[in-house]
Amino acid sequence: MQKQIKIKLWEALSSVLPVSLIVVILHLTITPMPGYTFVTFLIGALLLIIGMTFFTLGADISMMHMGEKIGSHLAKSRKLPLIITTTLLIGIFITIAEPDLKVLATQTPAVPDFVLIIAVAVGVGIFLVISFLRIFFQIKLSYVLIGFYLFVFILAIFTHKNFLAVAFDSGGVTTGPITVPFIMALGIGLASVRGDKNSEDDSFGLVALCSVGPILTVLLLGMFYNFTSGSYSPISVLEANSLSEILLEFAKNLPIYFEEVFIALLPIVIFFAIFQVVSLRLNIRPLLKIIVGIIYTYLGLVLFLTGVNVGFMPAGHFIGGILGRSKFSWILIPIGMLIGFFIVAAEPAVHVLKQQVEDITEGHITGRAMGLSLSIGVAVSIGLAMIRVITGISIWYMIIPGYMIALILTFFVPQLFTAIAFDSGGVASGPMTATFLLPFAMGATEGVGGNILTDAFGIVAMVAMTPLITIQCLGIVYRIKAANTMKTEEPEAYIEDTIIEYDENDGIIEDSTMMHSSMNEENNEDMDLETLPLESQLNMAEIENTSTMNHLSGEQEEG
Amino acid sequence: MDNNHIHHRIQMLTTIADYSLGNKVIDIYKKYGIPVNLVMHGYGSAQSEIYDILGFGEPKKAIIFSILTESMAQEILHELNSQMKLNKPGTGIAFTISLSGCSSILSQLCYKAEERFQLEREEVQMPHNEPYDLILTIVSGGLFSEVMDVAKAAGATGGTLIHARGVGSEEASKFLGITIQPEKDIVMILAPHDKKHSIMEKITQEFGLSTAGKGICFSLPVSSTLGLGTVID
Repeated sequence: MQKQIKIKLWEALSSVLPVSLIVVILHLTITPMPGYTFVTFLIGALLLIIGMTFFTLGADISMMHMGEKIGSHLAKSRKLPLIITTTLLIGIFITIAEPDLKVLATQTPAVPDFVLIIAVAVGVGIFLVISFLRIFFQIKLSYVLIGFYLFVFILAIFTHKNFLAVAFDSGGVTTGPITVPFIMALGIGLASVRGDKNSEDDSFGLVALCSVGPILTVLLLGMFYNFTSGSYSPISVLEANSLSEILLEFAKNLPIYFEEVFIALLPIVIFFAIFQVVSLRLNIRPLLKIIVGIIYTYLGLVLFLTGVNVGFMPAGHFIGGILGRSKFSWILIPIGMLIGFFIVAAEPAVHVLKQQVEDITEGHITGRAMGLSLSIGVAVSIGLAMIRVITGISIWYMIIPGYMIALILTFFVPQLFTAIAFDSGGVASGPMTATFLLPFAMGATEGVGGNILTDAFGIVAMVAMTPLITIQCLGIVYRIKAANTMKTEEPEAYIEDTIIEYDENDGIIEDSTMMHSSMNEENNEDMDLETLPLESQLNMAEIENTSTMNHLSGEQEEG
Repeated sequence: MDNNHIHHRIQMLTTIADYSLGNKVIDIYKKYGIPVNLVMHGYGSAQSEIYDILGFGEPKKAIIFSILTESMAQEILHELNSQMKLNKPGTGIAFTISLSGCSSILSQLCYKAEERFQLEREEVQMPHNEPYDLILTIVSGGLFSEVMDVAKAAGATGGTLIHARGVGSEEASKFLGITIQPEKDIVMILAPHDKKHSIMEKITQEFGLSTAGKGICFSLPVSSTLGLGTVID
């Protein structure tokens, strides 16, 4: 028991501490923060660690299980109308409940909040349906992605430039820490009941398509509404003089997030409850486990969001401001990249993605390789975003080449990596980006004196874009490695292979009591069942096996 | 079992260890040059129902299947014991099953690995410990904890879960472009020979083919075991 908690705590520590340390070092060297901001930050970091521990523990046993169960049951029902309506409703309701969407709505110029929320929710719903149908009709994910992104860019040409940053941000924003694990689990659940060769590749890719939906809908809305003037909620910096005031600020915010996370979790829990009553009928014990898991997720996320919103937001804004105002504003670029490199590890959904990738590929793609690729990706994206803050160049010149590269790479990368890469775009841009990196960029833009709406916004879009490229590059690395090991294997294949039988020396103990005559009749079927799981085990482990085997046989030849 | 004349027998070594230890185990196997190592993941059984409900049950496990000669297997078990402290409860288990046949290239690879390592055959000799059996149960997905409850009541100390899909039965079917196959839980239980029968009987009673669990159950003879409280000196 303690071991499991220790693992999760260690995970949380190793993901939150590095970025906190950087902030502490910045505080001690070039950007000394006011005392209260610093103390608030430290308390925030503590809440983050506790929150993350509970969230990862709970997400494993509740969100993932619920998503997988619903996904596999939908597939097993084999009723297309049921699948379409259910996924559409799931997509719509979890998106409406997403707290980040409300923030996005208030920030989007010209469009009424209500219209935007409904439009984006329907967008996500439709794309969730599309991603299910894509799997059933076996259409390559990369073709679907290329088609829709082309459409996005054609629309973008006709949309007001000030809309672009918000539109591309919306893709990353709507896929938050609750929706991502759940949608990902839906895909994995669907893949888990499939026996065809693409099932592993298709475990991912749902989040990828669901991120396109909001971009498309916001762009469409941008064509109907006249862009007048932008408004965004300015960051109110807390001024506290004593520790008790700081604690009071946390206490004041806690209920807000209790409510927000409750609303966000509600649709998933309701959908699951309906499934449980109608068709799942889980026993009491697995059900209790899921309920306990939901409580962990809930508490964890509330603590996490409180910590990050109260503690991290002012710190990010402050550091960005000081760096932006300084004579050497170029320093924003390296410091931003450094923060970006370490901050992505603290995104709650990143843990879920890493674990799922490791599970599905049986460790072939390690969590560490994923983490490193994501870190590099986000570091690059913050670097680009800071260049935008300093120079004020349009997001257009970064989004277009970025997505072009990502889409062209899909032709050279195994499908699995494409799916994981486009998923990770939504995964990397979570609450940490929204509450630390965005205020950081806003503070920096204020410091430099740029236009916040066009220069600071768009950072989420950057964070959601670069992992598409870095994860696919990881795919290329794996492909080259696999090709190299294949080469060394060939000579071995020419040796004649026969079967050696070993004598059975041990006496055979017959167990007559177990052998009922009725059991004998069913023996044939038993054999089928027996060979099958072994086969699938071998398939699962095949990758690891070939690499080990090649490695070793290569060595043997030398000797 | 008489060890001398079946030294050249090829065995399958199954290692089940905490997921975080998986890479360490594989490093040991690579050092020994074991030609085949298949890695997958599974889940251990919960210590108790309360732990399970609280979410601390079913820890993730690394399961490694390796093919090697019997004397190598003994050496490896010895090594695992000293390096991983597998005799400490909860760390992991390892056991070997003798193969009744294998392809000649595979056996040659095993012998080569053994030669390369130049084992002194007689040195490592496992004490003849209590005979064990590996019970494999295949039931409908999601029944692992229930199967373990029944098995534990009948004397099993632990078990490991592997997720799988069932083909070949009438449950599998086509839907549009994809094949849908029912989820299955493979439950691996290592049990002392004298308890094997009652465990299997109980599992078959509760989860047999005639029940909702649609389970089947069979056992394999196990040659040597490690990590079940056995002490090697």
